[in-house]
Amino acid sequence: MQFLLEIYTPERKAFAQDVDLVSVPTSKGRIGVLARHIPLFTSIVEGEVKIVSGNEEYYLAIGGGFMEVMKDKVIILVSRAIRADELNEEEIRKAEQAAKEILAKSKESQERADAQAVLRRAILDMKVLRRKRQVGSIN
Amino acid sequence: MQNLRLIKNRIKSAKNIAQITKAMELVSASKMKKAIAVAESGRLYAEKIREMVMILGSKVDRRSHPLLKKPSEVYGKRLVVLISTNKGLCGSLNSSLFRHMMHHYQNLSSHIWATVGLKGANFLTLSHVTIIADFSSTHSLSVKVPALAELVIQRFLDGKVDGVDLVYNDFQSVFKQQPRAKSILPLTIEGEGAEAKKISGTFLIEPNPEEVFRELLPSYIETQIRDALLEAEASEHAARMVAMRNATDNAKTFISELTLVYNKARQEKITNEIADLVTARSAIVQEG
Repeated sequence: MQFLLEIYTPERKAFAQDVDLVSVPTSKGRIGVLARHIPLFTSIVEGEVKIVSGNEEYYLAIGGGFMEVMKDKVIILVSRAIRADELNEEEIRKAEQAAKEILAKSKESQERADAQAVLRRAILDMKVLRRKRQVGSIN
Repeated sequence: MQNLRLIKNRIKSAKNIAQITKAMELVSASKMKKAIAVAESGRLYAEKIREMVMILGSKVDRRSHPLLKKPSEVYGKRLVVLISTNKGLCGSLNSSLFRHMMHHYQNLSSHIWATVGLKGANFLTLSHVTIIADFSSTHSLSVKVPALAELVIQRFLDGKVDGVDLVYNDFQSVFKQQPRAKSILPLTIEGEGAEAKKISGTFLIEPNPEEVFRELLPSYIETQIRDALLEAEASEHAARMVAMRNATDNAKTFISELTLVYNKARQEKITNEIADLVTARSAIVQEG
């Protein structure tokens, strides 16, 4: 049994499809949602979202946000959501490298915090990319 | 004849101006469409966030949250974010915004200010007020919005200001941009009850309502700031488009007037030449 999943960011509607399962990271651990889940409202943290629909699996890298589970529909609101096929490995590696360099050199706390955020995102993006490859190799 | 060439030069430069303003009009038109499209695509997110704030707002004790609380002391001092444009050539957009602002805040220097847009920053600098931050050179929305939100929340929580306002041009149509002063902090949750009714029965909230609510409110403020920035951007491009269209029209009228003058001058020159010929000839005939 499937339910409708919609993912919104401030810029766009990132995902809208009938799915079997969605799993999101929260501050207390991952929550998996199947159809007929009890109505739920939760905040979610930066991480990866796993979506299963039929035989297909999707992974999205997301920023922090919220999830609302309703009777027949799930809505996820996040600051950023990027599908694996939108990620560019080279760009991510570059960002990762630049962030590491700043962390190695800079002593300014603001700059370090920014670089850390970039690095965290880059590592997350890479993880989502690798997932996609694994899924691809099984098929 | 000197005069003729002078007029010809003026026609030429008017044509050049018309060409440039026409191009600027087209550029502004496409930028405006883009800004409206971005605003449109973010609307769903903003509406959802608002809806969730309403729902959760009915479930938690609102007085417990510092962003909702009115300050215990009143200083008569607010943090005002002035959203103007970086560039000019957009008609009376900025001046009407500033006029509205002067009217709304009788004494500018009793408040503290943050600016987005060089025109507003320059205006406030000339008025000798305290500017605590300027975001004119930050172009990416995804950087500007969280930074601004953090700044205003921080200042509000410090308790040195009564509240936070946004001053910007609201985009109503291509021909109408309405200057607005909108208060965003302390938050007011209006329309209570009506929206909360939609959700009936049990509703699990994790980890707990207070915590989720606390995380939700900054997002709510962010969406409001983002909305104002996008409205201001659409207004800027719309105003510039109209200003440039007027400039093009003016240049065209000018060209047609000048062409008339030019033709008259040319005709006069020819008539004079013929008259010269005829007089010369009749003088010769009479003498003969």
